[in-house]
Amino acid sequence: MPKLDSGAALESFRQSLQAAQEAQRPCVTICSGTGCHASRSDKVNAAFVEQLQAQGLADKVDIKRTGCHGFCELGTIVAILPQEVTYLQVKPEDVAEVVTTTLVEGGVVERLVYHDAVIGAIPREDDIPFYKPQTPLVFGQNRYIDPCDIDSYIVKGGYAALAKALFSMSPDEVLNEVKASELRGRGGGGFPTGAKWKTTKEAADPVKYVVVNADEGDPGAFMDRSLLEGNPHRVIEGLIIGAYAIGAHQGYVYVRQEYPIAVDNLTVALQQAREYGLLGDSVLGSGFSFDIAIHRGAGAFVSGESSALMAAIEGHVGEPRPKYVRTAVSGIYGHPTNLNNVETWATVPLIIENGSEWFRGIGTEGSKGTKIFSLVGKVKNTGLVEVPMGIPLRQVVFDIGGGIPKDRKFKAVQTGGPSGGVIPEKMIDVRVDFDDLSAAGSMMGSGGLIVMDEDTCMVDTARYYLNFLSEESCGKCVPCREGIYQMLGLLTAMCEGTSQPGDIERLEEISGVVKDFSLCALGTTAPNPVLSTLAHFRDEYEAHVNEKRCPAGVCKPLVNYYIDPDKCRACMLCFKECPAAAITGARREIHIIDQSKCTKCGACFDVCPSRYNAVARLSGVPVPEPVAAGTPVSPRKGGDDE
Amino acid sequence: MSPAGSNGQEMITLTLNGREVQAQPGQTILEVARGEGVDIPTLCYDTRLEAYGACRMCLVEVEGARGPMAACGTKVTAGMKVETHTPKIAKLRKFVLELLLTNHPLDCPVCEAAGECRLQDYAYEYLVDMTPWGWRPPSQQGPGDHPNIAHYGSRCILCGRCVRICREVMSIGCWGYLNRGYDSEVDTPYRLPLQEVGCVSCGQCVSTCPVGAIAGQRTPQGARAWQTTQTATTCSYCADGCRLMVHSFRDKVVRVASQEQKGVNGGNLCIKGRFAHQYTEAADRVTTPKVAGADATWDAALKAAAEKIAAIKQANGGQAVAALLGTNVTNETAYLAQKLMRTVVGSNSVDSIDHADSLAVEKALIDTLGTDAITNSRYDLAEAGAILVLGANLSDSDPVLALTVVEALRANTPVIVVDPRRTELAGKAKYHLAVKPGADLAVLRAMMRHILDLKLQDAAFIAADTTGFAALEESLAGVDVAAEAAIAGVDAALLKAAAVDFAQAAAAAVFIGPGIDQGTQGYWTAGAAVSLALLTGNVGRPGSGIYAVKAGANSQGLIDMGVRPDQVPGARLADSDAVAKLEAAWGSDLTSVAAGVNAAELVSAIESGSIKALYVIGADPALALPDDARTRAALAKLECLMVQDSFPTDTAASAGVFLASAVAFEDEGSFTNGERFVQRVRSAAPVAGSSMQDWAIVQKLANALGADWVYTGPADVMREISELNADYRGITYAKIDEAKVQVPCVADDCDGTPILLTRDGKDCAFMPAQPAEVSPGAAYTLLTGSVKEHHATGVRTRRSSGSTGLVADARLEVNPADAAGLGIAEGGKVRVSAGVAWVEVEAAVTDRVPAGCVFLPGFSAAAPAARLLAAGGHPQVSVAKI
Repeated sequence: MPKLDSGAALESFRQSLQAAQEAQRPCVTICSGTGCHASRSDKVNAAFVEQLQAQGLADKVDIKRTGCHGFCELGTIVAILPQEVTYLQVKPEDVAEVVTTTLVEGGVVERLVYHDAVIGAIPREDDIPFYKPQTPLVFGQNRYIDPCDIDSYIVKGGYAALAKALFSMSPDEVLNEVKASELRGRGGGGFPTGAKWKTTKEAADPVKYVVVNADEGDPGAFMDRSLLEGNPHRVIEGLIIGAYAIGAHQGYVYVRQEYPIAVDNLTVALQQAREYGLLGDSVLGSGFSFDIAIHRGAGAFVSGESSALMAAIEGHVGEPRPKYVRTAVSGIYGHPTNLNNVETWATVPLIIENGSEWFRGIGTEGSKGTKIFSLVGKVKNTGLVEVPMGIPLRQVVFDIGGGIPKDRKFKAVQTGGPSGGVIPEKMIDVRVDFDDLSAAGSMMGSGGLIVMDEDTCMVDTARYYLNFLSEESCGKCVPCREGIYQMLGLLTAMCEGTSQPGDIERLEEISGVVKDFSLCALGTTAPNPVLSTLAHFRDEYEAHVNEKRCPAGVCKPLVNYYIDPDKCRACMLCFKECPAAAITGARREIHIIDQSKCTKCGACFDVCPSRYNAVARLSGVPVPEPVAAGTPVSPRKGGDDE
Repeated sequence: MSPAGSNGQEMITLTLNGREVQAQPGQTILEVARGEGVDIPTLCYDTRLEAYGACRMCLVEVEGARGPMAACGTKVTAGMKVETHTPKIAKLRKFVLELLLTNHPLDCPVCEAAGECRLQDYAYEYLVDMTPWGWRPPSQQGPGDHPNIAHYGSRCILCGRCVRICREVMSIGCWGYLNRGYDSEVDTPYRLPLQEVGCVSCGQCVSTCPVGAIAGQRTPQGARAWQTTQTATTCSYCADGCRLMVHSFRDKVVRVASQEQKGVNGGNLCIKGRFAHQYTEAADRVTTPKVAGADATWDAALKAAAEKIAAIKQANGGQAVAALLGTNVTNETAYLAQKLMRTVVGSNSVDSIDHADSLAVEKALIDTLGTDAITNSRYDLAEAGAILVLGANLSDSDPVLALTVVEALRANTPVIVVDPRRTELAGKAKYHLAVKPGADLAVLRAMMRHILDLKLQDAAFIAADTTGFAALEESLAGVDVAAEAAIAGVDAALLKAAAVDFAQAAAAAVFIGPGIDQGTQGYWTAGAAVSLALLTGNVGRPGSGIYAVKAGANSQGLIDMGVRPDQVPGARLADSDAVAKLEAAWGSDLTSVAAGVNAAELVSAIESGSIKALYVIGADPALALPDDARTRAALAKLECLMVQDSFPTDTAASAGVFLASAVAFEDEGSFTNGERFVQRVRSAAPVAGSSMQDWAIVQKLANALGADWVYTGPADVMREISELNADYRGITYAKIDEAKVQVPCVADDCDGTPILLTRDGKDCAFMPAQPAEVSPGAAYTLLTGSVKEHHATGVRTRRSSGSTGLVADARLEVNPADAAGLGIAEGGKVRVSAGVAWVEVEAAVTDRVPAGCVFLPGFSAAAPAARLLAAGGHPQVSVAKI
């Protein structure tokens, strides 16, 4: 391990790494991000090791386990370099064929590459429609880097920005560059990063801290996780640059305990950075000393709030405090503390390397650069996407996401996590940036995009978020602790058909209290899912309250399944599928659902062949009396009985 | 925690509810509003705690702010426009209250807090509809089995005040949160009983709970706040002088509470102050005078007493009569008692019981500093950069003053505790120098030597303001730091580090406790402690000073009133000018009165026959003075023993005349606390039975002896005190009614003297540092002192269920290693013997006491520690399992 004691030493080390790389040496890169991990990428890796051995290629081909590529829907992703052939949904049993066909024979396994309905087979990853509209500045290196090997980061230009900052810029110049870039915090608030840094830098206390907020907790969001897992050094590099600009000598990464791979990879990365002289006494021989400690969070959403996070780092319960004095001035142990989100820190090296002007060239007037989103829900291509600020939401959902599965109708997108709101179909052309999303009644948040189709009940969605927030409220302040509980009670009553007239107004009233009177942002934004769904889908609320009807047919207590005697052909599919044995019937006898036994799972509805469509999902209307048991099916008009 | 007053900063102007008001920078909106008489509601706020911002009741509208701001934590700024009670805010507050009521038990009829419950008050004030959001009452919980503190978890509104006061003020942490969000609860760790989680029963949680979730246990005499008469008075136990709010109902004291921001304690109290008040109703309380053990009329009792004294005076002269006062005798009574002794009886033998223990320290302080009073006060302790605590177990002896040291600890101020035992403070302090008993001098010598070696002394101060430095230097000339540390049994490196922290602090304070006087070298040790302070320039400035802690509520006042053989009110007896003035005022010849004997000399003076009569007011020498067998024999030998008390004390057993006196809750007058604050004692209940207030008994006795005193009451006495005692010249009841005034208060317009020995050219004298004499003990060294549940010899606390419910009797603390050797188990009976004297007690096995030492607190009547003590020194005792 070299101890790099100057910028020049780093550069020459990088050159030696690059020289040692054989340009044409084949390499199998296996995505080992969380999505692919779940798709058994470790077994795929083992299979490659075994097959390369078996086919005599073990010392001719490299294997690299990389960070997340983003296209999680179709993991495990395997890219073969230098051909850049990308295989999707690779299973261990596919590996032998891949090795033989591609590595030995130089061909392509057609069945494993992306197939587009129009273009057909697309072997190169960048040509896949999911990736095409993306601008992967922050996230892009993930797929080339082994997060546990610092050399793979350095060879790609890693830590050059740090060297530039340390040796050719003063701390003030670094700060001014970040300010000039107009970078805004990626964690949700969108606060100007440079201004935040300046506050901490200018605080009188000589002891200052910098912190990476990796307490990513929004349901469905995993941008920060994938960055930390896939490219920890970029986050570390950003943090060191920030510390240099601000004048901090100790940094913390507050990362959720539930992100074990992120913790592991980060631990390795920090150790390697220390061994290389990139952390510790006199970073790169510059005289500037800095180190980073990992603090693992114990699973509390509210600990992502800055003051709660810092309380947790101090060893206290992660509860927010009123920020009469901002944490930038009085944070950890009362010292000025600059907290930024993972993605914000990861963006910093790009700005230092390419300049603020370059960065400002991307995005919109108020929102510069790119933003990573986790695109999930009722969308064909789920995964992580990085797009320039200002891209229309429609493009994200339909071009990148590929639209709604099963050709169902698009309904809305939830942005900004539990604190955000929904963007309904009529606003789908909104530009994705801080200001436009706010104007549309939602927010950027940390980058969660949850797509909802026509089968999504908005009252149930609001109930889901309020349930989440109720569980995650720390319980310190009254409006959040008690108010959310009351809101959840009202929403649950709506979903269960026990709500009273006036409950919508009561919900609005209490939302106002929670919003105005809560201590921290968890509470003040907690009513957002309710207020925003109410703004766009008030009719659904009214249907629930006034007609005890769930228009989407999601809220079980408001839904009944009924077999239309005129349409039932006694095919017995539903009879066999019903897990509650609530359906009676026999061949040639009309099937009947016993409502007292029915658990409303909807299995009958799903299995009833579309050519019959005999099972009806009723809501807000009484269930018709069933026909007498044993009633034979009526002969089909036209007589084409099976 | 500093008293209100301008901090010299320029005031800022803001608009509060449309009105321009002035404020100091750094004040919060809430502080400013309350100062202006605007009542912003709060549930989670307590002046003793950091702002928490959880209840949201104090939210106000600030022009230009994003939303409502919490007044408790938001600092005012110039030009700020604040509206505290807009319709919008009122509506939101109503909502918050309604939300809190959704799961509140609404068991107000049986709730301790009804009538003084913030939730109840605000619910009414903000027009709350009962429970518009539904009601899910939690199942009833509580009250738990702690004798003093009841916990009803179901009433909790989660304001966190108990959690925070136990952590922030007490530095303990008995209360904490369980679960999260809507399921949050406040309880002890693992829901253990309070007794098992380090609770000291201070009741601070009771004092801060805004509802009835934590309260005093209910008693049969319970009464609501609106039913009780509430009287502000001063606690009569230790020298901290806490302000109490005494609730009485149907002429009985039913509860003691405190008031935030009031008194030197600012609302803090300890177990004794808050819970140990049941003695007023003790079954064995004596409320009738007695002659020779039989009930008598006041006339008969006074006549019997007067005749005896007159006879003795006739036969032996007035100097054959002595008076001994307890430490909770008021200034007024003390003044009259010494006036009685000096002018009517003709004796200077008037002393206070605690002087027997504090003799050496008092003398050392007078010889070096010219004053034995605490030079500073708790209010400037925050400015101390280091605190040395020598032989003082403050958490037990002065529990509320100790909180100021705890506050400093929490602010990372280095605290150096020199004590053989690991006291509560020692366990939390940066340095615990676990010195061998009696070797404190070695620690002080080593610290001074090290400071001189590093040239950290304050040379300018030494040159300008002190004498005797050369002699000190000489006495330290051959001292080797490591060798002294070895004598003390203390790690030399730790000692050196402590010395450096002490010397380098911008200001450092020194506490001297009774612990050092248990050694034979108390005088030299106290002198060395003063020398250490002088060496580092630590007198006469905020944050510096000598805190020689006093034993009882009015220990300082007794000295000030002349309850010392060699002292008259406000002056030394040797001060002929002062004495001449008193002679003129009293119309009495003082110079011809013979020198008196002090409390420590009393027993031998009785034995030798020079003292034949003793007048004891509120003291129990039979238990308090060392070697109780000898003391009891001496008391029995007296021709006349008059005991003025409320209880049949051990001393009263041999009294010829018993004068039944009021307890402090029934008394009027004033106490001067350990830090020289003069505070009122007010009567909260009528005098029981035919008892009388002490001052009145003294006056009647004086008149029975031929005087013609016509004092109309304690206020009248105080008028005379202020006329004759220069230090009390500016003291009137009106002045000290609310204000905190420290004597000397030399004129009507004087606000008192916060800091003594300010550098006015007066010389402070160094004392040469004597070598420590540590006698190698063959068996166990007996340490004694206080426990927080009991006071002094326990006359009152042993009669109070608030104390006995937790600590019924004294236990001998034995180190686990010694206990193993002796085959003693926790709670096992042991016999502790010193010579022929012995006591039997239960053992408490704990490593708070070091091996080779045992600790026996001094409050027990059944096992009096005094029995084992010879005068002075740490006795060697043997311990045997029974």
